[in-house]
Amino acid sequence: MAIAQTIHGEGLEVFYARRAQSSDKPAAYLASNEIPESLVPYDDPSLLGRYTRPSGEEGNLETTLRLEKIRCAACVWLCEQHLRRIPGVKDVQINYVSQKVKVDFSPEQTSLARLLFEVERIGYEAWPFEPSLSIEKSKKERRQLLTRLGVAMLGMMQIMMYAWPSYIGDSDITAEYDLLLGWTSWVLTVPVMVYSAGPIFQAAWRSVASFRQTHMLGMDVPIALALALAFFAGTVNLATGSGQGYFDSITMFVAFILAARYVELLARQDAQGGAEALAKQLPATCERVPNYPSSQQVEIVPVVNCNPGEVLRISPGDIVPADGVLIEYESALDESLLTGESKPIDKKIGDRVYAGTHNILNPLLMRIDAVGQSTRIAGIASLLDQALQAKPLMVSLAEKWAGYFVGFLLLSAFLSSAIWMYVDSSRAWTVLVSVLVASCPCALSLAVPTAMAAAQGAVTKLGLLIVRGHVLEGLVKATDLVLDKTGTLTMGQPELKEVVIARSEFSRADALSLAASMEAGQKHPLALSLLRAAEADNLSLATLSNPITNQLGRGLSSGVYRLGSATWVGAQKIAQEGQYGQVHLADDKGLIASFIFLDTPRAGLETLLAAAKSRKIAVHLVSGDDPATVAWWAHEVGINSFQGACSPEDKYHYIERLQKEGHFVWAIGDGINDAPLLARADISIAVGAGAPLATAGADAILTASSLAPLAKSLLLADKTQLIIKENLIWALVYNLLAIPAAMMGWVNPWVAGIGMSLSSLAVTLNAWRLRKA
Amino acid sequence: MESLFLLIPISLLLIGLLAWIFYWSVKAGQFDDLEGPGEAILMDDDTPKSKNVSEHSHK
Repeated sequence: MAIAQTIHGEGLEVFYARRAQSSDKPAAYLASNEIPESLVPYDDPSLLGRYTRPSGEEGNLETTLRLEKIRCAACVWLCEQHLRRIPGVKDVQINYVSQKVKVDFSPEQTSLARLLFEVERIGYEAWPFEPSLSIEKSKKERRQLLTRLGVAMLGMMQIMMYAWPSYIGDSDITAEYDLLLGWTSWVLTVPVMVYSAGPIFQAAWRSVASFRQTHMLGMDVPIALALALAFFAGTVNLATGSGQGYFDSITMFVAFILAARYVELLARQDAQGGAEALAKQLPATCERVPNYPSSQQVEIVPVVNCNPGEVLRISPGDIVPADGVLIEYESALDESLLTGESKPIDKKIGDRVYAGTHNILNPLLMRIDAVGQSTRIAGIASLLDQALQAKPLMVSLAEKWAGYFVGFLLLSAFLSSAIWMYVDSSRAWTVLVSVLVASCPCALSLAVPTAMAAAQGAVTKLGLLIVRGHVLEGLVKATDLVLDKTGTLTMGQPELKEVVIARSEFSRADALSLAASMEAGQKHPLALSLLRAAEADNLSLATLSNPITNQLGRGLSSGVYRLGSATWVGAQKIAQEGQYGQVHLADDKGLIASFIFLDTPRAGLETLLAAAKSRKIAVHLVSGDDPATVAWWAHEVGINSFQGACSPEDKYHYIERLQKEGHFVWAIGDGINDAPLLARADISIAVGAGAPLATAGADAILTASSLAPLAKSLLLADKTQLIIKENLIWALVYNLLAIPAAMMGWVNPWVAGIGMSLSSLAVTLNAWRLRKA
Repeated sequence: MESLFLLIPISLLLIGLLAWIFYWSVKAGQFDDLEGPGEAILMDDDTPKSKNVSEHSHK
């Protein structure tokens, strides 16, 4: 209601007509105009300085917020409109793709905390985003390449127009016009050579300069050489007034190469941005108890200002901001982010609590012993970094061969030119340029990337976002598939499976509504599942006469009713393997009902396992869950090798062992605890809404919630491989025909240029077929 | 045909102008988000305000 009032108050009702999905989370405090305490510290100078930058005149500040819970364009529209109506906000720019919003505001009239609160008021969440250098860099890189491409394209189009008379061989054209058109083309070619092709020359030069260490030449070397020679020859021909200028070929060549590189760059930068992820995992503010133990008064401070030794209070539902020791109030914490164990862990006084875990039961007090970079979560992140650097690079093999090819090419070009010098010195130059242009490894260098780009487009439509190029190549070679259980094989969400009624005077509905009303307001996953089940059955919650008390580690009680573990309630535990858990409801006369919960398997699992089986891929299940549950699930879905109770390090070593035995490992996971596993595997796929850090280490991200797209991607990977082979063979045949022909002097440069372009076109069109898959 | 001596320099100027416009538009972020502005037009705030939405229904 609070959200509805805010929306209506501003005349933004249109939103209801435009939104695609309804939102949840109406909170009482949203109705008031007060900024909640948890957001106030964002105005603290230490945080404000981190998240805002001065912008323009009059002392305005600029900040970038990352929006959460955005589901459709209407949500974006609402956020934008709402922010614009806040007094003091100068400008709002929302990027739909990255869900980031840039706000210019005047610090006298409004504040960062106010902006965050206003976004929360309309039902979304925003967190200030510290723009990392890498993101700025990739944006700059993208814009620069686009400008270079634009210049080359403009140059190409214009020069082709000037070259038209020479294409059609119009004899009307007289020498002076020829000269005019020639020099105009030259003027336009210079910026293309200097600006657009600049990086090619630089890369070629670096490759040559580092030849002593690497003994390899990059693809850029013959390209740069061909461009330089053609430009030089064209200029000489223009000055002497004989022969042709190659300006049209040069600009076209540059434009094509840059277009291919731009597409490649876009694909690579897509879905990156993992560096921002870790910040999101930990809250920016926390509740500090400065005068513990004499007083338990809390103050809200930025986490960055906390030091080891200080005492923090963590409310239920909050994320622990630092590593430490529990000193007061026992509670249960969800550590799934770190261990993968999906059930909350009971913590007693003196137990360690870790940053990034989720407090579920009671407000607790902890003493910090590590913050920031020394926490365990940061340790996992650095393990991930290491693994990423050590990632096996199949790509390097292709590069190595290309390097040899380039060397061979240069050698043959100069050799044939030298021979021609001896036979007929007037043609040596033409032959040199022809060989370089004709054999330019364009088709060869396009063969793989174009097929990859087309296939990536196709799998993206299926719901698989590829971050690193070798995924499709790797899927074909995979011999082993390693799955994580919680969140990957299963949804990690308990569902009420069965209600076993012990006494006949209670119906299923009675028992469920009683249990649900006791669990109302609890954050335990089982409680949430009970509430969901009650809601699904349209049960109204029973009113309880007595207050509910929470008995840690045992359950809840309210008057005569008790809801909780079997031993506490005095019930017989119902034996059923693979279950997520069970709770029992009893009153003073004994057991009323038992509720049995089961984790739900992820949709499309069977399809994926069937596809894996048909390709003879061995499937492994590794999980942080207890071994019995893992065994049950492995048996349930038909997986033969499995291992339970794995720490992130164990998972890492499991894959390492497989790889040492010569297996090619494909891993699928979701949590932060899977991040090292994903980084270690030869190819890794992070499942959907997994932890951002896990997606950062993955080669691909499954955006669909079903696993079925992976089975289809396997088929597509086969097809891609086939097309790449066809492309490579075609490029090879072309080069085998064109290079000797050019060496023999049968081909002049413009024919070579057309041949080169046609072979590239054929390769691209062949790759294009993949899009329809 | 003599007009070419005038027209071709003009075409060069035009190309220069186009290149500058392109440079400006890339720099101004016109190519950063190719989908959002298209949708934003459909979401423009130009529908007449209905005063009594809240009285009628909240579906």
